[in-house]
Amino acid sequence: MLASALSGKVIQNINSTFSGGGVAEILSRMVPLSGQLGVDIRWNVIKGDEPFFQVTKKFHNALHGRTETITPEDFITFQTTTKRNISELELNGDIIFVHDPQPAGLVIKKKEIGKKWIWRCHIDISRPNQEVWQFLEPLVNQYDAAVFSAPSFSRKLPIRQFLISPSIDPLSDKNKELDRQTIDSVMSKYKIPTDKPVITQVSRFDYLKDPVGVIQAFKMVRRSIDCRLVFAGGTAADDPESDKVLAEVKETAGNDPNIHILLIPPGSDIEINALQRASTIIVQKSLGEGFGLTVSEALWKGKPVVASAVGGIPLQVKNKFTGLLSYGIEGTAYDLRQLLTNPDYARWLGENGREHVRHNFLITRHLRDYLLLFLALDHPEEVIHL
Amino acid sequence: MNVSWQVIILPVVVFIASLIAFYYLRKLGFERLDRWAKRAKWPADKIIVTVTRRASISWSVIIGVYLGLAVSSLQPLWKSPISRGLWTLLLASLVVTALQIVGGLIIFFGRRRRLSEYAMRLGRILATGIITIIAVLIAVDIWGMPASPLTLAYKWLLTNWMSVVTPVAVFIIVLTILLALRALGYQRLNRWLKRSRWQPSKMLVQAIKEPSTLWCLIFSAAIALMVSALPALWKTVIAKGLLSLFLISLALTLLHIIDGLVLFYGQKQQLSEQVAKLIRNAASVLTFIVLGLVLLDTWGAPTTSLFLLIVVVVLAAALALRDAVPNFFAGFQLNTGKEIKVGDYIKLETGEEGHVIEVTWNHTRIKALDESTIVIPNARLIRNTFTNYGHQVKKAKEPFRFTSRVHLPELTGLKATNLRELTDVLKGAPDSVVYYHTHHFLEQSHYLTPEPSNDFAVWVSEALGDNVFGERLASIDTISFSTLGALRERLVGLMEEYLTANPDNRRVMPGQEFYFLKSTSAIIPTPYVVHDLRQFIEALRKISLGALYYHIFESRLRLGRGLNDFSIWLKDSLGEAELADAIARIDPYTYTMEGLRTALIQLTEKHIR
Repeated sequence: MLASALSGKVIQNINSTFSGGGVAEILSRMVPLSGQLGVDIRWNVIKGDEPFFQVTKKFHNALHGRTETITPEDFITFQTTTKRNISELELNGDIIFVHDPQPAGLVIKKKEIGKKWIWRCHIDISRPNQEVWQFLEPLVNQYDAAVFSAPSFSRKLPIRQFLISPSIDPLSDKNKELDRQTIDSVMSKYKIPTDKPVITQVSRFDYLKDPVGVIQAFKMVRRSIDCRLVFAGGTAADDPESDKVLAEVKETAGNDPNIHILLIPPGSDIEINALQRASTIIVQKSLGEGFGLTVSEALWKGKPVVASAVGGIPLQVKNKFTGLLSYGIEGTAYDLRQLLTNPDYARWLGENGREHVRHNFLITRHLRDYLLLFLALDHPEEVIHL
Repeated sequence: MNVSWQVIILPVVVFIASLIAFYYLRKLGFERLDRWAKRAKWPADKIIVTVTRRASISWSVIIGVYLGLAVSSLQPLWKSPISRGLWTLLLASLVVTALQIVGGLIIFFGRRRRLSEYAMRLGRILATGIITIIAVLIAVDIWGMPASPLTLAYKWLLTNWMSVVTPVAVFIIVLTILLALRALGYQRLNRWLKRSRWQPSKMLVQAIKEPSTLWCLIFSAAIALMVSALPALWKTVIAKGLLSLFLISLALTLLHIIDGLVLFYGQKQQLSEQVAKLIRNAASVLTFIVLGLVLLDTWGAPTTSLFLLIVVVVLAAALALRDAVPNFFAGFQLNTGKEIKVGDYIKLETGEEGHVIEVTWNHTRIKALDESTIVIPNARLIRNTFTNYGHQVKKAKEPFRFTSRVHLPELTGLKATNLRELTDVLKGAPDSVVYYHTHHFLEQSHYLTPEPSNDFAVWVSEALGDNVFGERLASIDTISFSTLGALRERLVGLMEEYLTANPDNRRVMPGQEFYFLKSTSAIIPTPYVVHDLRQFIEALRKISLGALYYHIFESRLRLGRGLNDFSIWLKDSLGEAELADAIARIDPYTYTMEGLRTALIQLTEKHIR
């Protein structure tokens, strides 16, 4: 019914990359699914060079609250690339759905072409670098609506702000059921024995994911419980820092045979899936998160999760009900020990977590929210009768 | 004159004298007999006295005439036939008298012993036969007939009486013993009957009682046959005849018992007339087939080929009726299991639904809501799952159209870092904000367990760390408020009261602020439109939680109807005020959504029943 109400409208999604990261992953599923419902939905990416992505990475970190040195040249680089994309990119949607800060400047075109514009913010900007936010805010205010993943991400804006949590696709390679043989073959491929409980974090090699903190927490746990750590990460095309982070992680891990640092190439969804399913506990000790899709992925597999109470993670992990929330390295270590010594409790948390994801974080709910969002643009009232 | 005296007067005088003499002898004799009868305790003597009193008159006359004839001078050519005639008359009278006496005694003692009419009649026939045969033989002898089968038989009888008397005596003795044992057995059975609580026992005993006399006779005859001097061939034939008679009687008795048991248990189990008749017919057919085979085997007829023929016929019939047979057995199961009956409203998992109008051995016919008739083979009905709703329920004036809703949370940009800010923002926030923070948990996490009733309570407990006040806020009975404004007033009132008593007003840690949200809802029609309570139940099973949420929560408070949609429809369109009130009394905030669905279904099902 929602899709049929959007009949005749074209929705154009714009982000910075077709692959790598949660946004690309969501759009790669959402676009064909929407098409099957009869919604004319399209997906374009902006073009950018290395300097541009360096700048947007700095903006990303700065918006997350990390200290970054932002120069006037950074803003010029951003504006220049934005103008180039405006001239090259065909903005033909009735609703233009811009994802994250990288393409945010495209809204300048709104004065000329009109249309409805939505800015989708996938990151946590609750404590942004003021300089960067003050640069972006005028752009964001030009949109007809903004979408955030968690309430704490909202700012006082003159435009409507909607809350839409990201989601996982339960049928994708990363989340579907796997047979034992596949799981064992992946563990065997990466030479990870299953003789001990396995603690796993799956995320990019990014400072915000705090991989070093994870290793430190693991070492604290190993003082009393024999277990293994798997840190499975990858890089994103728009993230130049990842190599540096990977090097630091390897150095911190040293030669510990119980720590496995895996560089998973993009597209290795089955392997990520197998690693999570083979794990005893999933960790997501991020310092900052937009949403933290890996948490829902782990919960969907029925695994107990220990995660930082940042970003959108508290929406997924109801402390002591669908997982455990921690606030630091010691807290993470404590929670890991607790779950390792109480497997029944861990299993209960995992089961609840799966149910919680089923009701709230599957792609079907996400798609429904997007369709309703598109409808709400033309209906300012709180109750829309279809 | 001397000739007349010898020819006429002398015989007449002798006749008259003999009449007078017999008169007085008869009178004297019957006076003695009467006196004896009065003293005697044997009541049957009246029968004998009465019968002989009447007959003795004719005997007197006959004997008188005979004596007169004897002294007459009639020619022997005349005397002989007349005297033979007189003996024959006397014999006839004696036979009649004997028959009357024997008949009377049989009836008297038969009634006393409570023999069946059948037995008494049999006895009288036997006695009549025996007496008649004897009388005929005597009459033949009187008249000196030339050698006839009867005369030869009679003469053979006179020379071989032992070979007749012995088996007859054995028959009588064995019969007497068996009848005595039977009588004793029935005495015991009657005592058992009085104690027995098994109701068919009386029928069973009565069913065996009647043919048991025949069985005694057959058995006695069989024993007598064994000791008789009949040729072996005759013995074999008669034995087979007796066995056949016994088997036929046994089969008839068995059928009689089956009839009685089917009637008894059929009434007890409320079997339909059709089923009872089928069982009886089946039992009859089976019994007669078995009886026929046994009889044929008894008489030496080849039964193997017949048996094979029967098997082939049955198999051929089963093959020809292979489609009908499953329907037949399914029909039997439906009839005996009482799973459905005429008038019930049923719905198959394949979608057909309607009132049952007929259940036959082959199919069941139902009348759908659009008046069409659907014929369902019984085998298919049994194989599929169907729901029997019992009898029809009434139709609503207006149908209920289920509506669902989807919602999108919207950030207001407002937030609070302490209780004072929370209170101030809440006072001026739109109703949609109040609604969101007191209801969104129902859809987002109510599937797991009922959670605290509102976000304000959770924030106060977890972020501010005040579990006591948090509990007070959580205890607000949302169902008792008919408008969001009233609910807001209660919340704000509690907060103001607390702040007055606790002016601490500490702030929460960064990242734990309370963010005020509201939601945008899209109301979506569903394909579920119901007209009665049964359809209502079916729809309740299928509708999404969004639809359930909409009709129970959103319509009541957010859309300001004051009552949930189901109760409004039940009362206004269906006239089911009791069920409407029962649903309105449910506190939906204390259920999980699925638990609420179950509760509604159960309430409605109970109401229908």
